Amino acid sequence: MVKRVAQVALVLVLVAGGVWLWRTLFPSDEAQIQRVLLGLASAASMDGGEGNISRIRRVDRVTDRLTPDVVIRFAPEGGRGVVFNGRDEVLGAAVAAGRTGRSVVVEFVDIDVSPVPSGAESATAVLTAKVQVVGERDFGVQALRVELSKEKSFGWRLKRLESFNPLSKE
Amino acid sequence: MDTSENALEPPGAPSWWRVALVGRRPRATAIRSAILLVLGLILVGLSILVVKPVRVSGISMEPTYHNGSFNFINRAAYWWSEPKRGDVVGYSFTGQHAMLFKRIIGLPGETVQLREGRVFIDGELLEEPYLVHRIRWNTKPVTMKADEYYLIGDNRGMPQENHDFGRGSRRKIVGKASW
Repeated sequence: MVKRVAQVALVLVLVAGGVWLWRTLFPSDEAQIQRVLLGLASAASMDGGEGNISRIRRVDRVTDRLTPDVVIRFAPEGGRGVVFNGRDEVLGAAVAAGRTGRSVVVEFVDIDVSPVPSGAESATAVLTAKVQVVGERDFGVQALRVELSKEKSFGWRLKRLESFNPLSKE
Repeated sequence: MDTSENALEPPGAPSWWRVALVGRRPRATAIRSAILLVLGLILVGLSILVVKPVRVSGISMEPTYHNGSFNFINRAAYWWSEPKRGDVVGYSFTGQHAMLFKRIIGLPGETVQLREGRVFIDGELLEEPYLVHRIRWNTKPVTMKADEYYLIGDNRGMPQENHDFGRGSRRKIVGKASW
């Protein structure tokens, strides 16, 4: 009886390990998109004391995840809206933001990727961005809608990002 | 010579420390402990599922809820009943890590309009005793769909354009504020 239970347990562990290995080696499109978005949030976070080289490296990590024709449209409630057309504009803004000397933590939470059909080359997701300036108690929260496209040599990249309000005034 | 204590103890009786630890009937104690453990785990699990702690960030619910104050969202509040006017609820952005904290003023099917800072529901003035500050907000009339509610903060003394409010879907209402 004990031997039988041990055999069943071993089989279950092996199956679970196999599933984990398969999902790690061959992640689904949804998992790849999640990883790209989490990586983007991590790259957008900045340390106020970062040097020029680490800043360039960080900005590269941001722009590597964007398509050349990316459009970022950000219009927070009550705030001034900003639009960046193309990766070069984003690069300029990211470098300028890095020079402010402030430490900022960006987190993407509640990422909801719409199901991606097999072979699809575009996908959409919604997420909540949490932005906190280190040392300040309050943080900013904004709902974002993103569109990604799959490129052969680069994988999933951000093509469009826009803010939206969860409540509608219309 | 025996001490008087040992003399009272019948032969073969368990030692006092064993009785203190597992009782006179270890099997019954084990069953009772297992039942208590399972019940405890169920209670902890339920409370994690039902109650969500939140920290209020921002001033849109002043003076009812202050910036930085803590509260709990009761996710079970609307399992068997629907949200009511006046309820303060957590409203999801895209999940439950961050939520809007707002008051329901409009119910499904109703038409809501703000005129000179006052709320009108289907043309009738809504009494709002919880308001302290009020400036002249104005909106166009908006009619809720069957699954929509109108949510707004209590701080109407701040600029209208800085305040998140409007129609929201029932499925994104996470639960009710505990106090």
